[in-house]
Amino acid sequence: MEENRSVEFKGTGQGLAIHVRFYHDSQQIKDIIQQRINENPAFYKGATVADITCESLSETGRKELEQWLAVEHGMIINSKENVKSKQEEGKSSPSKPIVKAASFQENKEYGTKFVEGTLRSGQLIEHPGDVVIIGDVNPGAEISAGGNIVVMGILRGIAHAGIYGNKDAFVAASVLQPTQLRIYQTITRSPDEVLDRSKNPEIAKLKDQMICVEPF
Amino acid sequence: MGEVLVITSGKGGVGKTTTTANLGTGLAQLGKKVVVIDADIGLRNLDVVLGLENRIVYDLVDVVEGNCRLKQALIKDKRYPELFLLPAAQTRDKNAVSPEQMKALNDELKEIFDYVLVDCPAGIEQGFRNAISGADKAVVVTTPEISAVRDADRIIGLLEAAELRNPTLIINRLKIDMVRRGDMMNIDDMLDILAIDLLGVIPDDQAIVISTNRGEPVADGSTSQAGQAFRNIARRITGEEVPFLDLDLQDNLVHRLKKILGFAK
Repeated sequence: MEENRSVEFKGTGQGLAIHVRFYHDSQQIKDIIQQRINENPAFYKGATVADITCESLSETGRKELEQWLAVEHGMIINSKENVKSKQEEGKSSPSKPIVKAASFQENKEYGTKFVEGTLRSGQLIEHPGDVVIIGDVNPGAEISAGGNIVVMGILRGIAHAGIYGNKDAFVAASVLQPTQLRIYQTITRSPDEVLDRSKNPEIAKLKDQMICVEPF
Repeated sequence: MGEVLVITSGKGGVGKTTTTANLGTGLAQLGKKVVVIDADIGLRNLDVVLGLENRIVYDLVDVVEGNCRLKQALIKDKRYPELFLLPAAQTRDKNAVSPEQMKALNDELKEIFDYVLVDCPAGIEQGFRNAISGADKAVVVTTPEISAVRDADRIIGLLEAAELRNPTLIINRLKIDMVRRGDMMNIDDMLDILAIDLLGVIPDDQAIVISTNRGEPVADGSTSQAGQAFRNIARRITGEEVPFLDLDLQDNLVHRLKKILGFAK
């Protein structure tokens, strides 16, 4: 289960986007992808690969992976040049998460993920685009989005917006009482003292590297 | 070189997490360098009991998977700068860690700390096996209920099978007035069955509920009996000889009068 989650296949207009989330070596990645392909070989045969994003693969590793997909599985590689620049950016600062240039367009590309119902402790929603939760997010639950996060309910858990470097990403909630708020690389936590917390809708944005919360 | 203690019980809800938090606090009060590890991956609580939930960025699974350095995952306590928490991951499960990884982690931690306290999950499966690997000593927590004692007995057997000999016992949530009426198992009954050394007895105390909800361990400065009991146990762990609390002290006036008049013992 865990392994399946670490590689994400996503259909886009240009073809399949493969996103490798965790740090694996190239053999592990291959194994995981192989496992996924075995589940439905007909679907992947001859599919177009639009993009491979991976934080742990080097440029040559990615090339090798592309070649392997093309030769072994007859997939057509159509990856964009921006992947390359992402890789180079990553090399220059290995200690920081890989950051890619963010734009509204990009969020649009991944679309918006809607989740209905209460997110409970231990549940994790990950999505490269925007995330909208129709329900509450309880303590211990986590949302991590490439774009914005909107919670139509009480946000009590952890929300991380703009994980790939979108500094304009925001977190909005009907009631904003998170354990932790993260936007891009900035983290804030709720105060230890129990304060009179606002019961009104609020929005959190990044301003001068600080997360500011204001009503809307 | 520090010492790794695993706090375990088999049965859930007997107070492993509360005990871990309080012993960590008690040892830190004595000036020891302490780290408490939450080994209950997927059902973490120790961070909440210590009031450190909102500080978690990295966790135990991140450390063993190499997503961060060990020091990045350690959370310093609000009150004691020598007390640290290594939180569990909440969005993963027990299989995310192997016993070998836990042992390596414990070995690394006991180089830095005087005491490493591992809060074991309930049950006897993977989580339990992870938590006890790399431990030097085990502390078994039980409550005066036949089911908890049964599970404690099973756990002691499993600990011995894992070469963790001579675990010590903490009896939690003892109601002395019920014991006196014969409605609750007494300490000797339990020691008869379990046949291990007693490390301490924690009386049932409302202060525990209050402190747990506030995220402030009861051992921290509280005048409650339970707080005193935990501080005593912490001192016993350091090797000090501390007499057991006289739980009868809190007897009601009627009982004391009866005692004086010779109607009760």
